[in-house]
Amino acid sequence: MTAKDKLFKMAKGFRGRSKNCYRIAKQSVEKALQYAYRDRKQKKRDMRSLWIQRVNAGSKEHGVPYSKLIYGLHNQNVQINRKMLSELAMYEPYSFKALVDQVKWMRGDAAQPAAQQAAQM
Amino acid sequence: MQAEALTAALGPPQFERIGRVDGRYSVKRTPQFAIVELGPAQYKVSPDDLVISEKLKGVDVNDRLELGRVLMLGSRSETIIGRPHVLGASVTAVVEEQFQDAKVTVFKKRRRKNSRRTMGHRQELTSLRIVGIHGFEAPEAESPAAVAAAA
Repeated sequence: MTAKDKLFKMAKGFRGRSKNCYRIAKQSVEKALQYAYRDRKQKKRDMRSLWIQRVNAGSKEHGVPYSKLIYGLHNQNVQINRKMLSELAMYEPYSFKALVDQVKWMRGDAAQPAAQQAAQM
Repeated sequence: MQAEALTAALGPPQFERIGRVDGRYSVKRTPQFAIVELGPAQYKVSPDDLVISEKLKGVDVNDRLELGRVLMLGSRSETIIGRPHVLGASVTAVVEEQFQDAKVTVFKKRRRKNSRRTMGHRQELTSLRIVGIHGFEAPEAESPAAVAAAA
């Protein structure tokens, strides 16, 4: 495979002459690679923002906004990160509710159920 | 000793080799999960899950590992929240593969300055099959001093 072939391979799906003509494709591919470099870093930021939105939605369902939830968890030295919190909120709603209830109890908003006391470590 | 206090303060080890597995094994799925810390990331795992993590050093294919840093356990009937780690809980895993990720092309360009740099990069990864989750039948009699010391 020549260098030109490799370039055109990277230009698949591009619009117009950017996928066919070498001089134009070269510019487009370079720009695409620059965006890829930048976006690999941005993806990490975007994902965290998504997790935070999901955790916020989940904890507001139980009456606690995201900021208070994170503050409460931080005070109790629970080190579950935002990605996992969002997974819990989506797929393990009862466990997520347990975390929210724990935070509520520590803030003095709600009484702790007996079963939760037994399981608390 | 100061060294012991320092290592105790670090918390349980992330992973430890506890033996080998020969040949085939099959894992039953159970409705349990654990949140385990491995490398810089956390994973929510159930038995018979495949976890792809950063390369683990000193580990070979078909090794059985014990992942010691468990942040939370959950099952149908109970949830155990660790602060930060659940005491006495662990997850057993078997190393399936140590491989390289797909290649990413790292390309940097300074415009109008006739400068370009191209580099290829393949990240080293390890894939683990989760075999078991332990720690649900933890001893209930935790003295307040022990809980406070672990927190």
